[in-house]
Amino acid sequence: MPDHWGFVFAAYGIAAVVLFGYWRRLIRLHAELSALKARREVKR
Amino acid sequence: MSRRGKFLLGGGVIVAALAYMIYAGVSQSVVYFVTPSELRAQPVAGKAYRLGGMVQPASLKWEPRSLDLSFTLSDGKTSVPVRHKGTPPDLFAEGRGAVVEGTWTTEGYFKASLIMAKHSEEYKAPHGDEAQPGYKELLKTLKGQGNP
Amino acid sequence: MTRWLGWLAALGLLAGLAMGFGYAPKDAVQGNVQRIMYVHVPSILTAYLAFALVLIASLGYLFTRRTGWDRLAHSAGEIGVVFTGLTLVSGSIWGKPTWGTWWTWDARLTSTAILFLIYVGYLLLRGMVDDQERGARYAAVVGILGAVNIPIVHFSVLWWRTLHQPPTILSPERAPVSASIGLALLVNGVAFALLFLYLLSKRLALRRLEEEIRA
Repeated sequence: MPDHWGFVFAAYGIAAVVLFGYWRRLIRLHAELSALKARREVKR
Repeated sequence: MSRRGKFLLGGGVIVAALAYMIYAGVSQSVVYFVTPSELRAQPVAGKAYRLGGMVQPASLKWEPRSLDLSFTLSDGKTSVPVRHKGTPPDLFAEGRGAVVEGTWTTEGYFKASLIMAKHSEEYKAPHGDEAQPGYKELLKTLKGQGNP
Repeated sequence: MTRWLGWLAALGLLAGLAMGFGYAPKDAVQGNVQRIMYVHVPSILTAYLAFALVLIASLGYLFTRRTGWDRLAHSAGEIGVVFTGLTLVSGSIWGKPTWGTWWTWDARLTSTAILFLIYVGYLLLRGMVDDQERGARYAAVVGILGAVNIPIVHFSVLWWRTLHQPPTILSPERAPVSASIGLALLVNGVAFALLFLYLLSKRLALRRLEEEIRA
């Protein structure tokens, strides 16, 4: 029977991109907000 | 467009999509397919149906040149002859479940435009319940016994 | 704590890949394309877990009006949407070679798409209402009502005629699954659960920061 490795790699590839992308987004937003918070505290 | 407007638009689209899906869901998904018995009971020529059943053993004919596919779908009591032009999916085979989309014709067969193979919830290794068939296959190859 | 969870999840995912591609054999009927199952099934189970948490936290918020409950519901809801999306995409990629179609409107697929839309709407609703407290209250109601769909998604394959096969996991009858395939599925399930906990703790921290800045 045909193995359809292309489909397998597409599924795993998309999963990796989505999960990694979401993780990076959380890290990035956290860093941005931390910086914003630090700047505000300096102003005070 | 304002932030609020965008959200309202997005929300509107979602609510509309949900409403449509629930409507379509109740009218279609609940009876996703009809059985051969149900179709035979009141067949309407030219009407679009989804027909589900078992591909009857020894009924499958496949002409790779012309892509002419014909088989019989059965629910154990009644059967319906189906014709299709195209390549069937991998899992499509005699003795397995299938769902086909198409119309009932006046010539007394079901003209399918889409063939879908139904899969069971069974997941098994190719050679019985072996945990490491790769290893076994390798040994066989080393012994020069050829393909397992 | 969060860092440790992250490493554990990474280790679990690596083990899951090794189990899914190295240890478990290919399926006798489907061949290697069956390995998509190790992403697809853990994804939807994680989504169930996430939305069950949304339900509990939403109830908690309505009863106590503590921001902590709302924070948990919001965070779990967002991650649940990510995993439901993954379920839909991986299922579609699996469906094309095995069923012969990317999508069909059977009860399982339709109800899963509805599940996805409900919680996308849940997240949008939070942005729509300017008043934080009111937004949290509305969201909690949607979070509770939306959970009704979880058993519908799961049992749709038993209640109605569908193209989708009956459940392998959380099923009234034990599905005939080879021990090695079952074990690979279990390892991937645990890995996804760890990943969920890690992402949840990250998302909670981010939400806490958002609250501090808004205050």
